[in-house]
Amino acid sequence: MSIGGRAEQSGTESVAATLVRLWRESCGERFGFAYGQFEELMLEVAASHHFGCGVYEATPDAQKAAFFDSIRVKELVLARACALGNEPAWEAFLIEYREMLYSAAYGITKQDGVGRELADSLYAELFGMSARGEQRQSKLASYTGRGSLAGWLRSVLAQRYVDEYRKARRLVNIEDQDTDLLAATPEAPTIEEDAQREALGESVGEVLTQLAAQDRFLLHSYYLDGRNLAEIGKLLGVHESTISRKLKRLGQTLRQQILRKLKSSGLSSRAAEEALSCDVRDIDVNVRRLLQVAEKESFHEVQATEVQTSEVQAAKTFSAGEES
Amino acid sequence: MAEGKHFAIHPDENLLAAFAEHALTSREHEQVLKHLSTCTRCRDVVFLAQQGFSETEVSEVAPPLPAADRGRIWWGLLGVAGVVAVLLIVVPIAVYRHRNQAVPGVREQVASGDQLAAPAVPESAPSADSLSLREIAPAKAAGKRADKRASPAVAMKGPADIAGSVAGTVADQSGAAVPGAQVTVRAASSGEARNAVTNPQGRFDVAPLPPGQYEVDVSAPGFKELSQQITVEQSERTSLDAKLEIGTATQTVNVTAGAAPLTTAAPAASAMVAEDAVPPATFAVKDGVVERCIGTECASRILPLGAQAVSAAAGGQTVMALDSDGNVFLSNDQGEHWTPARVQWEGKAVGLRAGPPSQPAFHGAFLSRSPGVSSATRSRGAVAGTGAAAPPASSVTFELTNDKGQVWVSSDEGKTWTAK
Repeated sequence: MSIGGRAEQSGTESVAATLVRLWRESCGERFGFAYGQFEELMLEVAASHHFGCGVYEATPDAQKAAFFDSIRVKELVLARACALGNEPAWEAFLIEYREMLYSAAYGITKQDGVGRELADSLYAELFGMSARGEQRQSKLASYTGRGSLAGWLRSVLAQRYVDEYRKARRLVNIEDQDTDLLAATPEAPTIEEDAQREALGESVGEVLTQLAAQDRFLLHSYYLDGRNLAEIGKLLGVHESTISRKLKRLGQTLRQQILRKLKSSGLSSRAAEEALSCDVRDIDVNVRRLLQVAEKESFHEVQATEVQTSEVQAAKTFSAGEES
Repeated sequence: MAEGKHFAIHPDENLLAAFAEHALTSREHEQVLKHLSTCTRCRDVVFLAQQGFSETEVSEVAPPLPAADRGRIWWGLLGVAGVVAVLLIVVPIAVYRHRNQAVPGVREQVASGDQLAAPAVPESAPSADSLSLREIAPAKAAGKRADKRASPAVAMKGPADIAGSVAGTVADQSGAAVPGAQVTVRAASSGEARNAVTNPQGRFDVAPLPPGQYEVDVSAPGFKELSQQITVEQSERTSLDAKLEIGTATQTVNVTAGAAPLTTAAPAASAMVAEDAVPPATFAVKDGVVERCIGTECASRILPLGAQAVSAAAGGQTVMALDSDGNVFLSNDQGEHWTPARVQWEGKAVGLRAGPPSQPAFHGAFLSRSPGVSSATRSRGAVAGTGAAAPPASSVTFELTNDKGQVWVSSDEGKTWTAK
């Protein structure tokens, strides 16, 4: 790929000039990083992220320059220099991030021992220790500078913790599920109630599977994962009151759509309202599965281990919120 | 990421971290959000990663968000502050425009949104007209911490690292970021120049710079060029927040800084009277994103939660956008921040337009992407508004059409709607 192209618009820096400027800003020379290495590194990042726009070679120069400009070059160079075994870089990394790494691990695990163990294991991996004394391969080599290095470290910690934690939780949930299934002894419904519930289940299913991604994310995070408004708002970069309004509006929309579906399936307005007010535990609806149905390939590992009771509880909470 | 690709397994740590920091392109953001909407594991990762941040670092100092991200978060708070913030920003601007009309050419200072947001911070060096300059002194405890938090890498200075730097943002008078602005930092002693271009968030960073006197020129198509003298100190980061005035590129506003650089904690920006007719900003919807254009320069204005915009309309100080779900969003700052409009109409809104009922082509073409309109027709359109050439707010009428063809009208910038 040529990086020496001229800027497409007057007044805009060319891609080559952008890279030279970023090289200066990265202070790479401090860690023995040559410009050639820097350019190669930036192109590697651009290739792995397709310039953030889904294409690589056909990307306009302005977009390329903007993409390069968004890279955290100082942190990227520091991380790569560490991965290459540069001692001054490693010292700088320790000064800046070691304490943060351990405190973040504690913040994620909420347990001193587990947090320390988690941070220790990642710390060794960052340093590139190998049990067999082979060539050093640091995890820092996979950092691409798209976000901050601190944010990346937190994500790696959280990822490790979630993968370990989920393994343990699956075992617990399977036991809980068995117990709940045995305890469930619903009363026999009347024929009319049965028809209403069946219609409701179908309507809910149709509406939920047609939800947009952001709506599914909100429902999942708030009702199924139990995240609070502040957490969701912070992640999406908006105030929690905005999330609250969005959820409320989403609830109203869902209710209207479900009612419409019920009526179109032959129920009268009154019967449709009655169906909506029934106990959600009596409905055979797997909310989590319906919300995830759009991307089966990405949640296959989740499906088999989810607990029916949590879905029912979440659906109940959601419905109760709408009622109020 | 290939076109339309869904993550076959999971997005990696880089994408998840960048998602949480709002550092992804809108396309990537949408793809990650789509994955998160169905992947419990990755949602756990991003939320837990935030806990690692909030419980260890936020407790001490403010979060290290870049200026643009702070702006995205503040829009939520702006929604809460709502009427107060709008009044505080709009009234002074209206006052100075009124004065400008009465006494052409008079330079007056007006309070900026930044000043209003931090009234406790004293304004120093009012002579710095269109540029606000502040120096972050690492020796001062609070400033040092804040600067360190804002960019951890900046704080990593070795003994040999004595160079300073200059960094900041370029925005227009409404506070909206100006991407692609050319920033030239020229050493007063040698005349050697360094160039930078603002990123999509309007930020720039020039480093390293040997200590000394510099002249900073900021220019962008459609704006007046600004010039500012600054002093770069050893091992310090000089912050420069420039507010550009709309005007022709050939106009230059030379600003001489006071004897000492400002040392305010918040940008102390002021504005100058626009002496020429101001070309109106136009608002268009392209690929589900509202775009604000002045001439050929366009900047994206993303709706809250990444909602897919289908229609945009502007008039007076207000910009409205309609998303694919029928939600209407209002903005009083050129689309930088949006607040949802209170639903006072029936059915689902599918069309939105601005202008007096007798003038459907108010400052441009009516734009709609309602169902039934061909994609070629609806993919791009423009509605102009805002700026000095816009009519008074009271003369602007917004019309909203629902999915049954019924029309609702608002003549008070979207506060109240009545059936037509």
